Amino acid sequence: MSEEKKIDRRKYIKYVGAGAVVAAAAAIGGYYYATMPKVPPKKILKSWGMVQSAKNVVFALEGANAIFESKHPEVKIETKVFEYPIYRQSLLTAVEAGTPPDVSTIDQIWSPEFAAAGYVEALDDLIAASPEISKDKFFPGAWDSNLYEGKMYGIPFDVDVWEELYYNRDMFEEVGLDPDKPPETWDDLLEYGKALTDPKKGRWGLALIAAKGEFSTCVIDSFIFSNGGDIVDITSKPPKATGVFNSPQNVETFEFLKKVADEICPPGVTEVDEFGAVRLFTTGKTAMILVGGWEQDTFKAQAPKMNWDVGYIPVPKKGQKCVGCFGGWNLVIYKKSKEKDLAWEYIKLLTREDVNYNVASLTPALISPAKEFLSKYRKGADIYFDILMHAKARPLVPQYPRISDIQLDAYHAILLGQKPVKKALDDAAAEMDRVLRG
Amino acid sequence: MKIKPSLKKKISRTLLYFLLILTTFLVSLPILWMISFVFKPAYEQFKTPPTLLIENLTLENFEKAIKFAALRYLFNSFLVSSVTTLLVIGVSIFSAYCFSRLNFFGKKKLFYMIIFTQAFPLASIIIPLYKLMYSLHLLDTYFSLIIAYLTFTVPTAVWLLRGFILRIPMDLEYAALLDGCDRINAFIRILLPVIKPGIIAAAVYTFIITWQEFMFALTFISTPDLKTLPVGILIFVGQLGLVDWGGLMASSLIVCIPVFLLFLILQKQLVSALTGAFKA
Amino acid sequence: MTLLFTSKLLDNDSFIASLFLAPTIILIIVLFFYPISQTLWLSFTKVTKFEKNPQFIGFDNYIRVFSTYEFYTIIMNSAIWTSIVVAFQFLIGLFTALLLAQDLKLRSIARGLIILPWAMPGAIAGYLWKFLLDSTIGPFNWFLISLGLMREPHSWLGSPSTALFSVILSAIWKGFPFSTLMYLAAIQSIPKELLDAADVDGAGFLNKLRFIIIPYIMPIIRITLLLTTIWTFNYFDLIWVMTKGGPRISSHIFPTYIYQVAFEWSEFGTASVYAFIDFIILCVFSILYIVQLKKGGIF
Repeated sequence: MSEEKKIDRRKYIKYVGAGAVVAAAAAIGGYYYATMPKVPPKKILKSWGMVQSAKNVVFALEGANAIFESKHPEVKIETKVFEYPIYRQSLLTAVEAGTPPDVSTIDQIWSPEFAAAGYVEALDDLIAASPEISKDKFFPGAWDSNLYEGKMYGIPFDVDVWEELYYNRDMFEEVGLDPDKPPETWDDLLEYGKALTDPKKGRWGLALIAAKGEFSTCVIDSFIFSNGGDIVDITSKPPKATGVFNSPQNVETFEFLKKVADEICPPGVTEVDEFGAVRLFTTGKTAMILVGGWEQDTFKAQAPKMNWDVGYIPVPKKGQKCVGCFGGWNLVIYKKSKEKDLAWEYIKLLTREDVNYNVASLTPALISPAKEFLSKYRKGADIYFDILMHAKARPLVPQYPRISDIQLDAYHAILLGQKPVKKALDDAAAEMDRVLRG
Repeated sequence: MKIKPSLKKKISRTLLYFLLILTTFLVSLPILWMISFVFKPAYEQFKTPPTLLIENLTLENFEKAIKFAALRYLFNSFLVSSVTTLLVIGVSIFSAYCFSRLNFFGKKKLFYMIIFTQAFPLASIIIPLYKLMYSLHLLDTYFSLIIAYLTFTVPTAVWLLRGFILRIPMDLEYAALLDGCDRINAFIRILLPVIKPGIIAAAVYTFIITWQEFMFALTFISTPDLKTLPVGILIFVGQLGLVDWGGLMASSLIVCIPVFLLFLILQKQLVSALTGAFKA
Repeated sequence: MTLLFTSKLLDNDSFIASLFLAPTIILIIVLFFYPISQTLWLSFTKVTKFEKNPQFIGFDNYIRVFSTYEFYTIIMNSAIWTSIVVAFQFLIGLFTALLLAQDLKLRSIARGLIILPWAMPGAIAGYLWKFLLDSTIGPFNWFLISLGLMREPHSWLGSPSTALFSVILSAIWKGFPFSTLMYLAAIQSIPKELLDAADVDGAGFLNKLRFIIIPYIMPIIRITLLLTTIWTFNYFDLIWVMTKGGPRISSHIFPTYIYQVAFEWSEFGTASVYAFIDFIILCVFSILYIVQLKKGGIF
């Protein structure tokens, strides 16, 4: 009997002890909570953006936020930044859940989609009332990327363009090419490429990005645009692809790209994504690469000793102007936001020339800070700037992700020799029309 | 020519050692690669021909990984996985007991149903589940992940634990019941301690599975501070496919280490638990 | 000290069962029946982000999906993927289990290292293999060339003919340790007397394997095969990170295609069709399998 009592007592002590610990923890926690300095609740402005590890943008954003908060002391800005692969999904989740931010940047190609789905506000009235925001201050392609059915649904934040031609000067010299004269035309590109290609030595002329992904679409588009073609005609209702995507110019373009892939690129282009292409270039496997200027930092990091230079996108015939494919981010205000006026003020701040210069992840969307930015941080700033001024945005349709996939599917079918060019484009155009018709 | 039995034994043992080392080496080769890659500086990572040897040892990749809040993500993953594991064990122990010790209406059908829950692709559970989380206002919280993870971990845990319990003879429990103990007490006081190894096995399995889960973590959580490791390390995958391989691989290693350690420590229990489960 | 009344209640099997099973049942209803019925419903509707309210369109989605070549390609890809991955996970799992069951000194470390692929998150394993299989920088090609098995580098992930097999390879590597664990435990539970008796009778290793080991662990083999088949069929992470289903759709299986259609194209109706069919295929397989097992007296 006494044994049982002993056991019970031990158990009793255990329970009481545990209870005491929990009570103590609760008491301490409660004390801290109660004595926390009480801050008067402020209005919160939620702002979301995209960040890459390569640039320390958050720091600059904090500076901008400080300026805003000093002008509007009743507001606290809550900034959240996301990594690209999950940014879109995070935004969609938040919007569907009814808890979107007040303002965020979105990729240009999502603009029509977000506008069509009713997620974001039309800003025409606000623009008309704000003289600081005017079209001529921004790159034209960037401004237009916010249009949907005639209304503006965002303001450009930062931009970039696909692409420039980068080349290895030393490798040019080795085969007797003049490093001050990069290839200008399609024929030049093929000619130079062939001279630089020597599979036995493990060297090729060009690194072409063609893996499944938006980067490949951008490269294709820059060639399509430069040859006077287009992907979708957005002026017709519903937008039309047949006659546009399978136009004779596009057939020419795709035939050229196939030739390039077959003759001057390492085998397996459909595997090469942006980073793979950069690697090919920085390890000396290819003498040239078609990629955007933000990779210049990667060149410096991966191949500090490489002697590289910048050129224009090759054009079909001499004297033509190359048309790049626009990319970048726009600032939007969400319909469900309760602080739309504040959001607009924030947008105006972020697109102020001096602020934009600091907070842009890519190139600032405003023309004069962009010029300054490019000359400071980018080699070949003039070429770059030129391409930016004349670049064109991708099709502004809500179903853009699907359209891009169809385009890539046709591209792969052509590159892999599974379909002749005309048939691949015809099939793709038909499929695009089906999707665009809804 | 007859070979002496002792020599035969020596040869076969050497052969076995050789096979073991070779197999382990081949299997770990990709991971050894990852380790050697992480300690190389950027300009050395892509030299050809590729080699496992490191010329300039550097910790810069790890610095990057830690700088970009790998530690915060570590905490989140740990929290979610631990809580899920505890809940799973709590729920499945009782259910496993039912399926193994009790007889009730619909037992077989219910058990089959548990297996069928595994058959549904996660990608389509996600759509309705996230609408559900939205209406419960649970999106973007730890709870959404924990509840979602219960979907595919509870069925397997129940199945595993049921297996263990089935193998344990009912003698001890019968003795207790005869002594006047009721079923629940018999279960808690007698059976539970005996199936402890099985519980550990189910717990380790659940922890490992939830630790590496990617799709739900990607869709349900958008606040950066709440992200779990597999999603958080994507910070090194930038826009348009720009990948900082050094940082990515370094943070990947950081993700793998806790699970690896957990397994190393518990592997003896794990194997003996599974062994015990299958003993006749 | 229990009341007479409650002890009667507590002894009633069904009462205890319902109490204990309640959480699991609730979970199954909420997290399984609800999503399945939702998916089934969605598969009969047309719904994208732009049209918030799903419109019922009957079997249109199904008819359209059945008439695309993508559907049949995906079925074939899934079949190839599942069967090869499961088969090799079984073979390698069994082989390593037999190896680890031997009384060798390095056993513990080997066990720990062999489990690593399984413990590694799928997305990370995907990036790792993507790098290893890269056609110009990846060590895999160099490995094969230096062994003399290949003359020039091949683009594993970029050719439609090898993309699927490349992801299959990485999936085998990633998942086999689970089978190893299961078979190892099973082998170690074989009563020593049986094996000793066989030794006395002069049986060689292969004979022991064929007549004692495998029959003894057959139940475990069957269950492991069922589980790995279901898990492999629905596996997403690796393929998505390595190829996203490409080039074109040569490495798309059900889960990856569902994800693309639902979350990149926002066509939830079509995605639900694929999801439901995925489920039906696995259910049919599981039922056939279980019927087989019942004959062997497992359940």
